[in-house]
Order: sequence, then C-alpha cells, then structure tokens
Amino acid sequence: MGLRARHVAHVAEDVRKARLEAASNVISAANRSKVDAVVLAGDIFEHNVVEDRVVHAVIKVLAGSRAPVYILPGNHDALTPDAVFRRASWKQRPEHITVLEGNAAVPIPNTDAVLLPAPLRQKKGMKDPTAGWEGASSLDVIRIGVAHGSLRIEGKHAADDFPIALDAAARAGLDYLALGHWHGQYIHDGRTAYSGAHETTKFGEAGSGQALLVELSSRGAEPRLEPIATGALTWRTVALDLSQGHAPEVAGARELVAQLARPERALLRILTTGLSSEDASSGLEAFRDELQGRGLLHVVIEREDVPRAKAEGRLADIAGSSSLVSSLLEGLSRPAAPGPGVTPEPVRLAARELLSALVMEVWK
Amino acid sequence: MILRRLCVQHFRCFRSPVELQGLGTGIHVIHAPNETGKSSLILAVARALFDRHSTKDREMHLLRPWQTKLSPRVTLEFETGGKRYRLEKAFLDGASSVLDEWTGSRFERLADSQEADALVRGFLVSSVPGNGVTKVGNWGLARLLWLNQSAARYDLPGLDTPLKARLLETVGVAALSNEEQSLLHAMERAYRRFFTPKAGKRVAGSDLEREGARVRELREEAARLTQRLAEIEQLASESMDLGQKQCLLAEERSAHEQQLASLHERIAEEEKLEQQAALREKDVERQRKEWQALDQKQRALLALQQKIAQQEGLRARNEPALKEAQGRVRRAEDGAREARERHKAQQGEVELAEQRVERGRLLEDARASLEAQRKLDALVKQGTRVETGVENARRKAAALKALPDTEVKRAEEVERKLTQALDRLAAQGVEVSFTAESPQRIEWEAQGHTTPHKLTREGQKVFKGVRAGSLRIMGVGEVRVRTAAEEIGKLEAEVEKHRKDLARRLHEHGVDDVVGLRAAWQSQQAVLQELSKYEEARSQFLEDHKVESVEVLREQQREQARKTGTLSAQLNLSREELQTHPFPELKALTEELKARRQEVKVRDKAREEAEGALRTTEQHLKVVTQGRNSAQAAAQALGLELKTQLNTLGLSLEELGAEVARAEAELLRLENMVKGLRAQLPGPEARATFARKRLQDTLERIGGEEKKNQEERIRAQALLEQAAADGLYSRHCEAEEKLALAEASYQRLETRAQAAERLRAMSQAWQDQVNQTFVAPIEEELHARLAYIRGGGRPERLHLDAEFSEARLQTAEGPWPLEGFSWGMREQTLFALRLALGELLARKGPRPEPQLVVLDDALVNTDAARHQRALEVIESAGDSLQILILTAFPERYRTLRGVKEFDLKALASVTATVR
Repeated sequence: MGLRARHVAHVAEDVRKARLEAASNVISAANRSKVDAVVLAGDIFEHNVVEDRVVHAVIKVLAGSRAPVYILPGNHDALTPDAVFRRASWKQRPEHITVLEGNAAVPIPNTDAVLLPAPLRQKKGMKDPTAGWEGASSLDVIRIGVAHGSLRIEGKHAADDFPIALDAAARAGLDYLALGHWHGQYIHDGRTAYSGAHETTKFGEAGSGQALLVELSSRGAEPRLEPIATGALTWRTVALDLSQGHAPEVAGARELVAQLARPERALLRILTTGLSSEDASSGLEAFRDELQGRGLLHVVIEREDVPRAKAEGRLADIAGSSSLVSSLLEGLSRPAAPGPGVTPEPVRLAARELLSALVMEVWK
Repeated sequence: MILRRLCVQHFRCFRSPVELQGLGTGIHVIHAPNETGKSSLILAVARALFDRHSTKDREMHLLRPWQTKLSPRVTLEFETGGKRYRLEKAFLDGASSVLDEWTGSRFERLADSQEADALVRGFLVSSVPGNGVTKVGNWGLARLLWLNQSAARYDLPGLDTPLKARLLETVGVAALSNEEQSLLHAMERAYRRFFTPKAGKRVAGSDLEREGARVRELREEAARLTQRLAEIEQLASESMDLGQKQCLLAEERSAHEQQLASLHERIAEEEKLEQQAALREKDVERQRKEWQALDQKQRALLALQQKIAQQEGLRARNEPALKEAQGRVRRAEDGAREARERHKAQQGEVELAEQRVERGRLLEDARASLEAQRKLDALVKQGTRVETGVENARRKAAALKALPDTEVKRAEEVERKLTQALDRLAAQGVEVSFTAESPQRIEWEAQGHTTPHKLTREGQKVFKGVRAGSLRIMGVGEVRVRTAAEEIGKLEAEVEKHRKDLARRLHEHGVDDVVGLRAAWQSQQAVLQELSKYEEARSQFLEDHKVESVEVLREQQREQARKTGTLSAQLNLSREELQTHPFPELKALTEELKARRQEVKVRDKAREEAEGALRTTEQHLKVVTQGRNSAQAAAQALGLELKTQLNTLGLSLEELGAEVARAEAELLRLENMVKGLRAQLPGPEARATFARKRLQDTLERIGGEEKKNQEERIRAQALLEQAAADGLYSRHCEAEEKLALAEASYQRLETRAQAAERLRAMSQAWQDQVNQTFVAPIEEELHARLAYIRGGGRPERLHLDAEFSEARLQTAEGPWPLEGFSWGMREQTLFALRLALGELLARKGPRPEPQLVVLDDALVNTDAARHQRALEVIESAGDSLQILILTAFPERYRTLRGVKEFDLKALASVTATVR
C-alpha cells in the first residue's frame, strides 16, 4: 500500500485506491473459501514511513478476514526500529492479525500446521532468509515456510535481493513455501510459489493482480494451488503498426476497448511502430480524445513509429509549388548523422510535424 | 515613371501657378535661391502621387500659402508602362482627384476620386497610406529613387515587401508568394512563443518558462523530501545501531559489577596495613620537623658568628686607606685654587684684544665708506653729462615738423604717376612742331597758360601732350589746334590731378620738389638718430650701474655721505682726520684675539680638571669613611644578637651541635620502620582499591553512555513517528508524481520550442540564400558607381542587407557600418545607390522603363574632385533616367552636357506678373 505511481502520475490516487480495493478482494475471496489462515508474504506497505491513514485503511481491510491473518515484514516494510509494525497505530489492530516478527514456528489455530517465518530486518541483504530453518525439521506437523526475497533463478535475481535457494522447501522439510517479492505469480516446483501482487503496478507486469488459494491436506501431501483474480484495474497494452495507415489499426484497437467490461477502471497504453504517414499524429490524437471521451481511466500513446521521409498528398503538392516548403521539408526529411550540434531526432520529428501543421494552416 | 509636365498652384510659396514643361528623360537642373520653393515643388509632386485627395491632415493645411485658405492644386503629366497620363489633384476645399489617359489625340478620363489615387499609387508600388499624409516610408519607388531634403536623407531607404518584390523581379529572383510569406510569419510566431526575436532568449513568462520554473520547484521539493526520507532511513538505521549498542553496554556493565563484588576482602587487608603505615609516617614527620628546627637554628647561629668576624676584618682594612684619602684631598684643593687665578688673568687679556678688534673694524668700514663715496661722486657727474645730452637732442627733435617716411614715399609715387601720365599725354596728345624761317617770337597757350618763346632762324620748337593749344606767332598770326579724343581729355585730367596732389604735398612741407622733401626727411632722421643715440647711452649707463635714474644715484651719494659721517663720529675723528688716519691690519688683530681666546680655553680646561680632581678625592674620602664606620657598627650589632639568641636557647654553640646529631639518629630509625610496613603492601596499580576505582569509573561511563543512548533512541523514535505523522511518504509520492507530470509537460514544450527554433533557423538560412542572390547584382551596380566617385582605386565593397536597412563597407580591418563614415561618404553612397537602383529598374527585369530620380541639394558635403566624378555618373545615367536636380548653385552643374535648366524664381515671378 502507498504505491509511488510516477508512471501514471495523473491517476496516481486512483491507482492507490484501487490497490486497497484489490486487498479487499483478497479478503473477500479468503472468506468465501473459508480458509484457515491468510498469509501475506511481505511488502504489505510500500515504505515504513507511510502515514497512519494508510495503516488504518489496511487494518480495516484485514479486520474483515474471518481467518487469522499472518503478515511477514518484507524488504519494503522491514522490521527496522521505524517499522510500521512497531507503530502505535498498528498496535490498534484486531488480535487475529499477527505480524511474524521472529523466526520461531507459529502454530495456526485449529490446524496441525505451523508457520516458519523469515521476517526481513533490512531493505537489502545477500543472505538467504530461509537459511535458519534447517534445524526445525524435527517438527511433525504441516510446515509452511513464509519468506520474502528472490529465488536464485539466473537472470531473475540480484545478489543483494535476499536470494532464496531453489531447494529451500526441501531442505527445511516444508510442505509449502509461500514467497513474496515478485509481482507476477510464479510457482516453482509445486511446493514453492509467489502468489503475485494483489494489484498490477505498471504496464507489462504479467501475472499480477492475483492471489493463490493453497490447500494442504496433511503433512507431506502435495499442495493444491488455485490462482484467484483480485486486481481492481485493467492494464492493457495495444500495439499499432502504422505502416499501412493508422485507420485500420485504430479500428482494431477500438474493438478491443469495446470489449472492456469497465472502461472507467482500465488503463490503456498504445504503442505505435512502423512507417507513419503525415496524418498519423492527428489520427492518433483523435483516437486518444475518443477513448478519454469513453471514460477510460488512463490512455497513453508511446510513439515508436518513424514518419515517412517523403512528403505525401497535399503537402507534397504544396512543396512542388513552393521552393521554401520543399527546401524545409528536404532539410527535415531524414535523421542527421550523429555528432555534436546535430538536431536530436525528437526535435527533428517535432519540427517536421510543426512545419506540416503550419503549411496546412496557411494553404488551407 | 517619368514626369512630362508639372503645374503647382496654391502650394506653400507658390500662390500663383508655376509650370514646368518639356520634361523627359535626361538631366534637369531646377535652380533657385534658398526659400524660393525647390523642395516645395518636389513635395507637391509627392503629395499628388501618394496622398489621398480627401485627407484633411494638419500637415496638409500647412501646405496652403501663408495666411490664406487657398486649396493646394497639383497637375502632373507622366509616363509609365508605355502610356501617358494626366493627374489633376486638389486638396482640402474642393478636394478632387482625376486621372486621364492620353489616347493619341486627347486625354480621356480613366478614373477619379479614390480610384484615381489608388491607381497612381500602384504605378509607383506605394503601399496603402495610413491616416493623414503619406509618410516617406510609403512612397514606393520614390522612397528608393528620390534623395529629398529631410532628416532621413543620410539613412538607407529600407524596403517593404512590395518594393522588395519589385526589385526581386527586376534582378530575376522569384519573389515570395503570399502563402510563403504567411508561412514565414507563422514560423516566426511559433518561434516567438518561446524565444525573443533578436537575442533568441527564452521569453519571460512563456509557457515554457513557467513550466521550467515549475519543474525546478518540484524537483527541489522532491529532492528535499527524498533527502528527508533518506535522513529518516538513516535515523532508523542509527536507532537500530543504538539498540544493539545498548545491549552490549548492559552486558559490559553486568561483568564489571561482578568484578567489583570480588574485590572486598583484598581491600580490607590492604586498608589495615595502610593505617599502620600512616601512623608511623606521622611519627616520622614529627621527628623530621624537630630535627629540621634544631639543624636550622644551629646553621643560623654559625652564620651569624661568621658575619661578625667578617665585619671586624673590614673595619681594620679601611684605616690606612682613610689616611691616604685625606692627604689627597688637601693636595687637590691647592691645585684648584691656582688654576682659577690663572684663568681669571687670561680673561682680562681677551677683553683688551676684543676692544682693539672692534676699533679696527670701524676704521675698515670708514675706509670702505670713503671709497664708495668717491665712486658715487664720479658716477653722478657722468650721469649728469649724459642726461644733459638727451635733453638737448630731445629739444632739437621737438622743434622739427613731423615728416613720416610714408609721406615722402607717397609724394614720390604721385611724382612717378605724374611723369607716367605726362609721358602718355606726350605720346597721345596733340603735337605742334614749329620751325622758324627767321627769328621769331612766339607764344604757346595751352590749358590757360601762355608761355613765350624766342626762336632763332631755323630754330625749332615742339609742343606736345595737349588736347588743345594756340600758337601765336608775333606779327604773323595764331594757329589753334585741338583734338576731340576723349582719352586725351582723361589723360589731361589725370596729369592735372597728380600735379595738384604733388604740389599740395610739397607745399605742406615747405619744399619745392620731391628731392627737397627727401632731404628734409633725411635731416629729420639725423636729429632723431642723435636723440636715439643719447637715450641709448643713458639707458646703457643706468643699466650698467643697475639704477633706474641718475636721481637714484644722487640719493645713493647722499646716503653714503651720511654713513661716512656716522662712522667718523663713532671713531671720534673728523672727516679730514679720517682720510689721513692710519688703518691697522684687522686680520692681525683678529688673529691675536683668536690666540688669546684659545689660551683662555686652555686655562679654563685646566681649572675644570683641577676642580674635578678635588671633587673625586673628596668623594673617595667620604666613601672610605662611611665603609669603616658601617663595618664597626655592624660587628657590634651582630655580636649582640648572637649573645641574645644563645641566652634564649640556654645552650652554647657546642651543646646545640650535640642536640642536632641526636634528633637526626631518631629520624632515621622511624623512617626504616615505615619502609618495612610499606614493603608488605602491593604496588599502587596492583592494589584492590585502585582496581575498584577503575571499575567504578567504567561503570559510571557505561551508565552515562546508556543514558545518552536511550535518549538518542527516544529522540530517533520520536522523529520517526513524527515523519509518519507528517505524511512524509505521501508527500514524497505526490511530489514525485507531480514532478513526473511537469517534466513530461516541460519536455513536450521544450521539444516544441526546439522544433520552432530549428524551423526558424532553416527558414532564415533559406532566406539568406535568396537574399544573397537578390542583393549581389544591386551591390555590384552600387560598387561600380561608388568606386568611381571615390576614385583612387578604392577596392572596398559595400554590403547591403536584404532589407536595405543596414550597409557595411568591407575594409581591411573588417566590416564597418556606413554610419561610421563621414557625411560626404554617406551622401555619396546614398546618391550612388539611387542611381544604381534607377538604372536597374530602367534597364533590367520584365518591366524596364525610365525612372524619375530626384536629387534635392545632393552632394553638399562632397569635395570638388568627387563632385566632378559624380557629375560624370549623373551624365551617364541621363540616357535611361529622368534626373531632377534641385540646387541653389546651378554653376556646379554647368559642365553637364544636354542639361535642361529651369530658373524657378524666374518662372514663379513671370506667372505672378502675368496674373
């Protein structure tokens, strides 16, 4: 909670509210499934300095859970002296909400299962937080590890990102290892899994906006994992290839948007590629206006298309009769070779666009 | 366009109509003195061509003749585009404008009113006038080709868009279309949204600037909040470190407390031994004090005894020295008395010598005074002689009548002219020659004078140089001759005039002829030279003796006599006795006095030495006496004190020595006992008390650190809680999100600004290229004319900007603005530019036609050589242009060939007379 949303800055507050809503979805799903416990594997809060307003809002959501709630301090809300979990406001929480502050096993009431927590006490660390569990293998109960960090998968972890051994569950004799940190849901070997962030945080974040319903029937039994959708917002990316003109591509995107159940809860990223014509900019801008008119929460156009070097249509006709226009178009037709004093490409494109607009306005 | 006919009426000084006819291509010089309407004539043409006939501007009212309500009227006939037109224009009351076209046989109406005004303006590419009269800036081609009398005559004409288009067309460069001009304006507008036009700086208060300021503000805010967050995190980290440290301190404290408990037994044993040693140390201290007191007393009494012996010895040693000192004092007193007497006797000798020297000096002064008086007597006599000579010469000069040299020269000049006139008269006048066949008496009468002559046989008499005369031959008759030639009469009058003039001058100075006058002048010069000689001698005399007059010398003579009298009185001698009195040698007297004084000094020194010796011996005697007396008194006092102290002790000196030895032995014994007890105790740092003190200090330090640690932890916790309560994180999120939005917005604007800047740069480069194509041929034409006028092979080229608003001469030192050159150079440049543009428009482009060039008082600052070359340039331009030269100096243009001259004043007066 308390996400910093620079990338969608002008709907940042909406995105933050949606995250609380998604948290409510998690609790509602848990209540519906009559779970024995709700385990939150870290980073409940974005930062330890979030204000009490956020703390109270989270407590209010979690208080709705009928099952006990276990919260592991992650790297964002590490158990430091300033930890949000040490705050007076947090201490006002209901009794069934427990912070896993120590490494000792915590029994889950009314079950024969215990939680083996590995709370984080700092923001970064090179030590495997699950390393201390190896001595706890003598317990003859369902053992559920709860940790926060990155599995040691090549290319998916950093050295100081609390790397967790791939066989951590087996070494500690765990029935299930609940992991937090990665936003996308990821199941490693049937006993180790990231449930994923309960709400998507940015475009292109696959597997987020979910929770995992885990069923452990007995000690040693294979866990049954069921993904539960919890996200409150829809984050979509649409790629448009403008080489064949923008109109057909825009039409396709329009159909896609029409299928959205709740456009007011949708965030759309339009990514353009290919060679674009003179009227592509105006067409895209008109499409953006249309989408915003239809109530989409957020629309962003990311231009990666390249304008055609040669003028076309009316502009080409004008250039044919005006040496001034043809000379300026020629000067802006293609990117300059890199070097000092050369016009940056975005400026060249903007100058080309401005020229086109001014010419059309004068010769209308 | 050229003018064919021009008629102006009711326009400033032209109350009556003035008309110029027969105008065409070529050079026309319209001349008239100042303030007779030359510039008004050109202004009338301009008002007719460019102003709306309906204008009621105040300036138009000022065109009315002085104190009239007459309406200015102008009629022009002109040719343009191969056609001939007539424009009749009246302003103010009865304003009208009529344009007719020549059809081959007569003028037919083409347009009137506003339409006629607009058509005429169009012929000259004149832009639409604003309110009031048309400014020179809107005079179209006339702005380029007319060099008027105005404040701006030394400025470049400047180009507006239509004029530039016309010149572009003339030099064969395509002009910008309206759309292209609009596009350039649009690009400029886009640029100026972000940048200032000249300096290219960001426009203050623009969206870009505002957004930039906002980004900076937000960046600062975000950085501040980030910094605060980092501080909070640092605080948390420190707080954690403090907690760990607190634990370590507690452990350390516990260990030290255990060590402290185990030290108690050792401390009790060490304290017992310490008490025993302390008691013995007190005994030692008491014994040491006793021994030290006895020992000190013994030492003091022995020292007293020794001092008494020393004083007795001193007194005994002083007795012989005392006797010897007394003897020395007596001898010194005798010596001093003798020296004083000798000194006094020598002083008497010196006084006598001083008196002799003083009298000798007075005699010396008296002798010098007598000598000076003799010299002054001689000088006074000589001066009196010179003064007498001056007075005599001055009296002679005063008796003369003034005859200046100029007067003599004038008389000689008159005589020379008379002689010349007579010679001419003799040569040109009537000549009568009479030869007598027998002796005859004849009379010749001319000019009222009759002169008789006697002639012998064959005698001849010639009379000449007269206009008329009468020769009477006695007994024969009278022959009268005369001539009517006017010149002879004039010569006679001239001769008579000179003769009278000469006679008057000679009469004034009482001489008969010019030779006599010259002799009188020379005689006068001789007297004046004599006077000058005497005056020079007197000046030389006074200068030699450095006085202003002889009277000053006489005064000096009287003063000197008084001085000599005073000196003889002082010497008690009469003046006669003084002259014969022997004078002693002053130098010998002075030498004697010096010798006497030297001797006194020697005696004085001897006296002082003797008195000094006496004082020294007396002082020595006093010191020796005091030494003996004080030694005797000290020995007595010390002996008394020794006896008193021994009586107080009740011991003799020997008994006191035995008592000191006993006390010392007891002290040694007690010290050995203390050493034995101390040997049983461990060293100071090994003692339990020392360890206890160290532990207590450590515990105290740990307690302090724990307290400080705790305080810091509480403070850190409070700050952390405060940060959360302040919503620091939310504010940080919000600031960063706002910053992201502002940065995106700023980046969009920045890209737009750079795009506008890029477009402007490209369009300016394109325009520069076009301008270069357009300006180059004009510069070439201008350079050809200007270089010729400047002469001397001046190679510097003049560069114009594309708007004709700036010109720079390319000199060896770099480009130099035209404003930096002389007025002459500037007017020649602007003159050459007019002719260059006129000839380009007349000969090149798709619409070549003759052009009217007006030169109103041009080249007023140009020197003669350049002016002559400028005339040649005008002459060569006369083939294709109509050049109207308005000047008050027509003679400057007389050398031009094929010129039509118009005397404006004459034209104006003729029409006025006719009316």
